[in-house]
Amino acid sequence: MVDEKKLTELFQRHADTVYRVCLLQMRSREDAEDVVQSTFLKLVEKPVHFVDEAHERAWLIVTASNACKNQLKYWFRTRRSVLPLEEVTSKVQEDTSEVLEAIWNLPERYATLLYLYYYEGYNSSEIARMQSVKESTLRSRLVKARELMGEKLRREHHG
Amino acid sequence: MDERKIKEAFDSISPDLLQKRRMLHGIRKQGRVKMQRPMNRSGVWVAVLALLLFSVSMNQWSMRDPDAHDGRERPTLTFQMGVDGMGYAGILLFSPDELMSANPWKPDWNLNTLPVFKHPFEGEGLMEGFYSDAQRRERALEIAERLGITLTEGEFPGMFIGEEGQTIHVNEDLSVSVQITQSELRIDAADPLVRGEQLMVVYEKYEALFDIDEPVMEIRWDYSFDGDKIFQDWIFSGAGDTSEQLLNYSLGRIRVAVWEELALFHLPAPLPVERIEDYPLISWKTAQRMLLDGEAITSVPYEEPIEAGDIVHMGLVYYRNPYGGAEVQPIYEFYVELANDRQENGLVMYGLYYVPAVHRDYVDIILDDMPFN
Repeated sequence: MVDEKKLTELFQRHADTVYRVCLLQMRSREDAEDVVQSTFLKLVEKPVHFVDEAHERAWLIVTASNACKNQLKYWFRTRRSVLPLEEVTSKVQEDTSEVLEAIWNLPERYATLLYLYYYEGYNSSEIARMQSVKESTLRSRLVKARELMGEKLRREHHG
Repeated sequence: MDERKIKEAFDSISPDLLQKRRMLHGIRKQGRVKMQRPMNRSGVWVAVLALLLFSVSMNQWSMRDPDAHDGRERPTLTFQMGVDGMGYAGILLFSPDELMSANPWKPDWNLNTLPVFKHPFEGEGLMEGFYSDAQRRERALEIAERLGITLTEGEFPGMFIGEEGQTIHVNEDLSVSVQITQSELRIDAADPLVRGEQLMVVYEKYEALFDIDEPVMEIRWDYSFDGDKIFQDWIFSGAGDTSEQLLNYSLGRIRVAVWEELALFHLPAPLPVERIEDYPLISWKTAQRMLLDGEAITSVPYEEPIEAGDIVHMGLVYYRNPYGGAEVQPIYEFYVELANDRQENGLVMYGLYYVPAVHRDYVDIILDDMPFN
């Protein structure tokens, strides 16, 4: 079992990452917060020996993603609300709002993939391992995610 | 694509300080009861003993086949499926995230056995063993009592008319279709959450008709090939033990449809109650491996290998052979993304694959022109 001090340190190191992963999948601040809490609580119930911080982060991302998927399967019992983007964050800069809007309107799977690739800096092989898919499949999904996002941005420009 | 803008966009959805404090508070509060506390001397001995027992059980576990069973003789079950001539089983969606299910089963249930139930109709063929007209009348009167109405006989066997024009049609298997003229309620929202609220209002009004404990709602949808969204709204009981919950979900769901002037309810046939016996189950992991190894049963005509990432949903349900049969047995069902069936408008077909959940030592599989994947 991890003690409270260690758990707090772990939370402070990775809360942002885990929350963003959850928010991109749950599309609700309250639901994302719930899943973040249940993800960290898993370490209280069943501690994991982490090799380093990168291992910690990868474990938390995978665990949080799985928890989100489970929640979404049974969403009708648990999900409270799906919020439009402007109610999820008020911190969007004007020149990035279009990009975030496009990401927000992507299917959860693609939005998370872009996050892991562009923001967290994982390569396609690492993400494929995290998501238990073949690297070739992951690369196709990445191409698809970029295409969808490009389409949405173009539509916003023309619309 | 401008990577800087993408990073900034993701930055802007980070949690604020207040959220972080709230989450950390929740983790500490919920975790505190489970957190490490200093142990006294006797606590240390209890811990050592527990560790020893844990090691022994882990050693036994590591040598054990997770699907091993007691080897006892049990009646052999039949798992039968046939192509219904209407293409293949699946669901058409724009995204796997749209695939909704209120199936109560979760992988962490870790079930080793489940009862197989005896269906009231033992005969072969659809028309064998159906209930008599008198039993259908009795069922209609029971439904009328729930609605608080009186009935007269309709034109056809099983058809009854209520005093305010309600129609109750009791089918040969005692499933019932109830039609009520009304203008007060409707279920027509495109937003599933709003639709759920509408369904709840309908449930509250017709609670006596539904007559179920711990109601759970399920709102599912798929699309026509033209992209029209088609909803299915269900209510079922979430009460009972593991097998009862699965039975309620699999065979006990009430279909609800309410338009501007009409409410339609389809109440399922009475659930089987007689247990044949408890049967050992294969684990969901074994079932998934069988799917990936091409050993699942499906009407999907494609032969491309399935990858783990193609599986978008799995569940455990009770199943009765389509041509009658006495057994109601548990099966795993999987929805698998079919890359071959991607439509130009973005719709994707998710095909349905089955693996009987009862250990293969006790199941004969009969396929009627149904390919193994």
